Amino acid sequence: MKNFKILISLISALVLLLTATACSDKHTVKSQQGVDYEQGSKLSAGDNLSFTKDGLTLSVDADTCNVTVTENESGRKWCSNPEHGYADEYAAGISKTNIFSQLTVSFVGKANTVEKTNSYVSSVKRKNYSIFKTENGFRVEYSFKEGFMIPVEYAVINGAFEATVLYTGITEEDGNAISTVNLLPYFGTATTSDSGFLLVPDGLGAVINFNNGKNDCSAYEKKVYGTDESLPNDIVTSRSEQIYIPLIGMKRNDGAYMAFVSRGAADATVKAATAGIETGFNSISFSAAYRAAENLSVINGALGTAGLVMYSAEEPTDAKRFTVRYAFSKENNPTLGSMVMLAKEKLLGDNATAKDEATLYVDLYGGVAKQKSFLGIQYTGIDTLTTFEQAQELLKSLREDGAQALTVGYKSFSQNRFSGKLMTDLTPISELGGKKGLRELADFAEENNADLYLEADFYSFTSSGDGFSKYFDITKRLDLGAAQVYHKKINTNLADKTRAPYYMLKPALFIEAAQKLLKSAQRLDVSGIYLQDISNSLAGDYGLGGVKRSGATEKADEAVSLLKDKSIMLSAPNYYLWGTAEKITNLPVSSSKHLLFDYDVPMLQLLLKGSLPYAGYPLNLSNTSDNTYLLHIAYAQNIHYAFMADDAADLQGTELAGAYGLSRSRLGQAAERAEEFSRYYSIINGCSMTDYILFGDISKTVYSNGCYVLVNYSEQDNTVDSITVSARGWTVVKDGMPIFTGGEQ
Amino acid sequence: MKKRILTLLVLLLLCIGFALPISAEEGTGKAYTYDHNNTATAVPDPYTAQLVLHGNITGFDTPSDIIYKNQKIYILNSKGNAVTVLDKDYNRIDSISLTKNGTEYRLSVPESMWIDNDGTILFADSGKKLVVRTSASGEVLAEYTGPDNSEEEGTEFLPYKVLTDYLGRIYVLSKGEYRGIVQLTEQGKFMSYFGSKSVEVTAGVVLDMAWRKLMSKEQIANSARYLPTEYSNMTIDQKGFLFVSSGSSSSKKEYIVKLNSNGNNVFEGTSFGDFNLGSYGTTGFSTSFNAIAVDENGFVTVADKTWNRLMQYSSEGELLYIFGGQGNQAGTFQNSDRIAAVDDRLLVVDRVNNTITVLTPTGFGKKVREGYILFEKGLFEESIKPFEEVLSLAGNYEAAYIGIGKALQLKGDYKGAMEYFKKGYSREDYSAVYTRYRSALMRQYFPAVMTALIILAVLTVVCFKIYRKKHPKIKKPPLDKRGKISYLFYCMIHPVDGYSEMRYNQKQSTLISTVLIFLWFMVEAVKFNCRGFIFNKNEPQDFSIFTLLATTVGLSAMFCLSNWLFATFFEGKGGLKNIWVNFGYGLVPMLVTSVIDVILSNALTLDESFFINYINIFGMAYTVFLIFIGLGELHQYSFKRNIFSMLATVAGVLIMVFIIFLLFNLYIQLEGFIVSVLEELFYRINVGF
Repeated sequence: MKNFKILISLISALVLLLTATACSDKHTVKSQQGVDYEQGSKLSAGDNLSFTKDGLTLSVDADTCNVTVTENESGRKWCSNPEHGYADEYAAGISKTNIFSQLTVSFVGKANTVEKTNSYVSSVKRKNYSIFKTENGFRVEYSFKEGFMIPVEYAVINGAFEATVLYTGITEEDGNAISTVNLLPYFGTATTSDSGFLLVPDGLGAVINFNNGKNDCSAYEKKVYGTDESLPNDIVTSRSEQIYIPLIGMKRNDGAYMAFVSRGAADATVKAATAGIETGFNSISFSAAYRAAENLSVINGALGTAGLVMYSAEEPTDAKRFTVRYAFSKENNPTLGSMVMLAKEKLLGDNATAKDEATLYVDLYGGVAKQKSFLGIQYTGIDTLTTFEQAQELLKSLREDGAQALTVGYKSFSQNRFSGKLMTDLTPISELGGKKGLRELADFAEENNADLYLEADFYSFTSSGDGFSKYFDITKRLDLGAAQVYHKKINTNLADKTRAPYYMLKPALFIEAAQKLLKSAQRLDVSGIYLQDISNSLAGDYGLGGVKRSGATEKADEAVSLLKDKSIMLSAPNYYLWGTAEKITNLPVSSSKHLLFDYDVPMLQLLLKGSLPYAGYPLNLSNTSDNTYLLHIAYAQNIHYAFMADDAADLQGTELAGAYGLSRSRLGQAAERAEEFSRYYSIINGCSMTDYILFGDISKTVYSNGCYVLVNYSEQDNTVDSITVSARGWTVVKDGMPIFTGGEQ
Repeated sequence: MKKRILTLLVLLLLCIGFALPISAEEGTGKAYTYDHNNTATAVPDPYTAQLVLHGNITGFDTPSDIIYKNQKIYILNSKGNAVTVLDKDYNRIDSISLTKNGTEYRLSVPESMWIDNDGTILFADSGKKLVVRTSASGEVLAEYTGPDNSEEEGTEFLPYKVLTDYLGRIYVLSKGEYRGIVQLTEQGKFMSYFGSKSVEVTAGVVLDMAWRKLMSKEQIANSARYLPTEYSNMTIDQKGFLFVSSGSSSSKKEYIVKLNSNGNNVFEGTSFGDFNLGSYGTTGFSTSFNAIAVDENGFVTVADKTWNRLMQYSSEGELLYIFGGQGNQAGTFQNSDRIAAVDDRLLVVDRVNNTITVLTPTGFGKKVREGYILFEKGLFEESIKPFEEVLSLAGNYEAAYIGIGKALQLKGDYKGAMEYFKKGYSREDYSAVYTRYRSALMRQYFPAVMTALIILAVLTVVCFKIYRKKHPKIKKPPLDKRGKISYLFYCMIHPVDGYSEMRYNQKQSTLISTVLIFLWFMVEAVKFNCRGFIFNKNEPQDFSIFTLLATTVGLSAMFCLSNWLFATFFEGKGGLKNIWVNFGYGLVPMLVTSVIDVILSNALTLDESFFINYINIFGMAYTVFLIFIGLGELHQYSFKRNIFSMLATVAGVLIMVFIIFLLFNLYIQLEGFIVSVLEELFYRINVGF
């Protein structure tokens, strides 16, 4: 009895302690600790506010804080805002003053609602700012009337203009917590009298022409590196491509710039709009989420009514600064290709050229969970779709039909995959042939010019195991509860509560997971690892002291780098992992086709061709467009198919029922296309892609060896530069002569 | 040893039925359809948005209607007094402004337009409450005011959709008009109400109607009236059928109706719309069609307001696919109020974004339509190729399997047809083919089999006779000397004698009875899974070993217990052990007929199902009879008392079930509470650290 009493009092004490800490004041605002940037010297009236270096002149206006970058050679000027007094016929409300601001800020006020302000109204107009001279440029400290101070540094470094929001210098008082900061929203000041376009990194890339007249559409806004699954979005009704690299661009009249977020990219959001939507400017910029904030819907228990409660994170992002680098093109009237080349050179840093051989990418599915019966008694078992032996047979058949080289990704085979644990253990289920079968498959692959990669992941899991617990090792939401995500029902895109939810692994444990994975790979003597969601998904941990998105990108990079001894294949990776991959697959051939876009451009492919081999999404699983194969040719994208040895009808009622094209019926087509593609690719092997132009239904892709390929998407033959391209076909041209043609089979 | 077997059995039972968690989604398209279980399954995109027309650029403003006629596209603008005319390449070729007697004529709230057979244009204006007829160039010719509603209050003529049939008769949908579609003559005179809907009869309605019989006239006049809800949109095809869509308040079968010239719905009882949408918080979601279009091949496309999705059905009302959705991407919409079919393309008006999206069929979409067109024309053989191509693109498209199945059936390939019908989960078709297949088999093998059977029979008789000659018949031992199993069979055939003697001789065996009851459980399990495809609608994942155990073994135990408990009331003389034995023994007929049921269900067709039913009923009846007699004899009840005892036993079982249910519920609540407290604790443990 006494023991019982002690137990009860301990438990109640624990519960009280937890509730006390959980109810802590949401308004205590924490800022970054420690100012770590150059202080410089304060400027007073009359001082020179101009700085020249590396062919660029940077100047700051003492009255308006407008920043202007002048290209010394051509004399082109790029301003952050229009001159004071400019009248915008489209702007209304806060947009009227936004156009004069270098920063637009949204913050969570005392009433726990999101409010907006900007640097013009809150700081510059009230003369509440200071300008400092630094070694490479200037720093402006904006003191907002809402009680916060944001320092922004403008500098010229290594031939590019850098604008940085210095997080470590931000101070917040009065209980207002900064949520997002949009840096230089109208940089370039492209008006209705300018011509050009905006380059948006949506999916593979898209172009928005200036003044395209689509004024009734909403502006474009999308988070870099995909949505954060620790912040639940209530209803997501459509699926769209994500932004894989924080790179934007603008071509205005005869000049162009490309901008890249070099620090703090994981918190960035790309915003773009044409003249007539919110203002009279064609604008594109990055917005940084300094502090995550979300509206979460809460069901008020007893009353059963739903409401929205504003949650904002206690701590701001773990990045120390948010830096956007702008590189200006020296060419007169640069093309899209030269703009992307400019970015590659000046902003991204060249990647080493890797082996560039055309291979047929093949995804093989090992097994699927299915209801089985034994003497009338049911149990949930695993239906084998492709055993290791059958895999050998499939690969042999592909090789015989004409595919010379293969890249094989083996999926849905590990024990951890079926038990819902974190996929850091590569041990296969016994039904497929066990470790021995795997060994034989690996040997077969080696002998037959096929690279074998086994599926692994450490982004999310459903059940505890292998040292990772679903209670302690997962990310937390803003309200400090566990972040759990339900699969979405196809017909409503709402949570399907009949399936177990999944949890995201804390980024702090990525390295441990990678170490476990490495050990497993070494134990099974596996040479290739195929990473799934960890390549493109980013979930921040909003528990106290948790690693947030920015830190997570570093942890992911570190973790994946641990596996570098093995060959790594990444599935549609975000930019921060490009350095670790040996091959990339599932690269998009489309953007999300937002209504504002005018056409797609292969920005990712322009960056990757010649540096990293890449393939698209399996052609038989994504029949969203009839042009997919032709686009693969235009983008020099390796062909990817998904197969299984079983009959398609056996997938009914399983989780793979949605993989409608999964079967072996397209084996012949895959081999044929791979053979044709490799002949095409051998012409452009090792080259980089230097330009891409779209004329109506024809696209022209230019390579560094002077060859170019014309692809005709229409149903009629067409002639470009006196070269005839057949309907639904393509022609490779070298020195003005067609040397290779092909068509859709 | 027994213990080991027991633990093994328990472990085996525990391992069964645990769901394995699964993750990862495959497929990138947003289109889906519903399978035979009404579960949504992804399919390739049937349409792509090749082109999006923006109002600012092409020249229209917030369109309220779109019509395709005579190779031209007419767009009715709600802002600006014009109709924009486009050619088939979406270039603006004309715009029509309305004039009356030379002066400008502005429509108040233009909701719909239609081009009549003679080229004149009809407009539905709910602001002016008129249907206006103008010439092809916009000169107003007539204004129609609709039916005279002065007697009825609250039903003004508020036209929001107008069209004409091949005879020139005008059909108008009016807001709030529950009597149906307003039918006017060519000159605009009111004719009648066409295609009135019936009120959906629910329990509430029936109750209310009954209540009204007791109310006074004044009370009835003041209470709310039950009126059918109005249609949301309509269109007409070349054959003159009127396709009318309704919002969410109708029954699922009436979301789309195909009316013939008599106003009767030709679609036979198919359900339209989404299934199993569920609810979110307190908001329930259901389909609500607000736009409808029919193309030249008879395919009906509707737009669902709730999710901005488009659904396409064949001319017979079969669901092809569902696509579209809410969003800002090409192919998704913020609003999808009007659709027009232009050849095989679809034009969707989005009033919020001021765009018209042109949807072109993809290869997949084209193949599905091709297959359906050939199929519904009766050209089954020709439909095989497109359906096969559909299956190579989407191996989960059930309709394609059924299509090929039908074609094979006509060709005479019964086995192939059955295989495809099974993959397409069409039991009726499978049964129909199976009849023929079976007859063919029988015809083929009947002579051989019959001959063999006859020879076998003759041989058996001969051998038996020889055997008897060598070994003469031994006399049967008296009743009390027989074994326990033969006693069981004796009870079957002579129940009264057998059971009454059971109290005195020791021939009853609890073991046999227990075995029989477990056998009942196994037979039920086998029945669930092994019955023939034609009769077995059970899905493997619905099988629950615990439920089955509870409903067989558990039920038996409860019945016996209840009977024993009530024996005290009725002064029965039987003990629990004997009741158990009686019950178990009585189950034998049902077991036998169940086994026969399973075997026969694999061999018979739907038309012959009465055989199986009859046999089942016979088995059940005999079982009930045996148990009744058995227990009656055991307790030595009179006939009347036996009846009462049976009723009481059943009541007792119900009470037991109820109590168990309560306890179970309580346990669930408690478990849920403890689990959520623990989980909350665990998830928040990192808070302070």
